[in-house]
Amino acid sequence: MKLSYLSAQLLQLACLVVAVPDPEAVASKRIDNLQKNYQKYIKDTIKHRTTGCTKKNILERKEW
Amino acid sequence: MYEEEHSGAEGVVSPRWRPVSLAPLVEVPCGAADTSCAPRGSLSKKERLNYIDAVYCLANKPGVTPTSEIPGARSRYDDFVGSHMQQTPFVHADGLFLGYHRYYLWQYEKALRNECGYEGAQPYWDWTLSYEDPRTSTVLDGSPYSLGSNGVFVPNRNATTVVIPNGPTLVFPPGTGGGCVYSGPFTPDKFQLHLGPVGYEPQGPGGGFGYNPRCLVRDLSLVFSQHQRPTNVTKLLDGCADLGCFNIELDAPGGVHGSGHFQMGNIALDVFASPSDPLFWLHHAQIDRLWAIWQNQNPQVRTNEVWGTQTAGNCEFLLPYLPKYLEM
Repeated sequence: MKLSYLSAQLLQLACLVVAVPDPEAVASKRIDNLQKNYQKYIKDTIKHRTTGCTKKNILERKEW
Repeated sequence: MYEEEHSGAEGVVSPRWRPVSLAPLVEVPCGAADTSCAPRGSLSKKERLNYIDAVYCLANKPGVTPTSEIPGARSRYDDFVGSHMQQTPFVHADGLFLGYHRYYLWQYEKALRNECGYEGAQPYWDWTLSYEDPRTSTVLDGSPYSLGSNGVFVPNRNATTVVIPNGPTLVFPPGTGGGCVYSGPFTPDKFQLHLGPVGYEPQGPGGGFGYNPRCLVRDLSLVFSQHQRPTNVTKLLDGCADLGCFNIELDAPGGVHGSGHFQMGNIALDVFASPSDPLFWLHHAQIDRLWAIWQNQNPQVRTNEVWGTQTAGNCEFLLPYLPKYLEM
C-alpha cells in the first residue's frame, strides 16, 4: 500500500516536471517556427517569378 | 582548443551542433540528442572553408579607399572597415541602424561573391545556441572550420571604457581572453587588423584612421553572452508591435545587438571599427535575420516601416530606455 502511494507520488512529480518545459527550449522552438513562416512567405512570394529573384537563383543564408 | 564535431560525410550534423537555417541542406532525424525535431541545416566544412578563403581574399586584395580619406586602409577588407568608421555617427542608435547594416552586409556579401569567387551566401551566427559559453560554439572553437578562437588569456587587465556617439559611456570588465586569437584561421600569421581603435583608448594613430597593424584580439565574455539567450530573442520578436520598439530593444546595451558585440570583446566593442573582426559579419547577419523574421510577422506593414532620424540618440523614444542604459 505504502509502495503504491509512493509510486503515485513519484508519478505525479514526474508529470509536474514534464509539464514545466525549459523556457529556453520553448523560445528556441518559437524562433524555429517563426523562421519557417518567413521561409514559406519568401518561397510563396517568388514561386511564379521568372525574372529577378526566382526559386532557381535564390541564395539562402545559412547558420555557421 | 576544439574537437572534431563529426567524422562522417559533409553536412552531417553532430548532436552538439544545433543550427537553425533558412534552408536545411540535410534532414536530420528527430530525437536522440537533439530534442527539437525541426529540419535543420548548416554550412558544410567545405562551405565554411570557401567562406574563410573569400575573407582572406578581401584581406589580401588592394583596397580602393584613397589614403587622403583613410590613411591606414590597405586592403579591400579595410575599405569596408573604413566605410563603417566614417558612417558610424549617422547609422547607430538611430533610425538608419537596421537599414544601413542590411545594405552594408549585402555590399560585403556581393564583394565576397563578385570579387573573390565565393558562391554561397553570407552565413550567420545563431548565438542563442551558445549563450552559456560562446567558446563552445562551432564559430569560435578555434578549429580550422571556425572563425578562430578566443584570445590568449591575459590576466590583471583594466576595464575598457567605450564612448557611444551621443550616448552613454560604457565600462567593460575584462573577459576570458584579452590577447591575440591563438587558433584557427585568423591567428596573427594569417590575418592582421590595420585600422582603429576609435571608440576606446588608446586610439590608433590619426584617431584610429591611420595605419595600425596588429593581431586580432578577442576577449569572450560569459557575462554578456547570457543576454543572447533564446527567451531574449522571443521577447523582441513577440513583444514589439512597431519598429521603434524593435530597434531600441535590440540596440540597448542589454539587447542582443549590443551584447553580441560585447561578448566578443576588444575591437568588437569599438562601435566604429568593429567590422575589423570577421565575426562581425556573422553577428550582423543574425541581427538581419531577426529583423526579417520580425518583419514577416506583419509583412504588409513592417516590410517598408521606417522609424527615427539619422542622428544618434536623437529620439524621444529613447527616454524610457535611459534607466536601462544607466544600469550598465
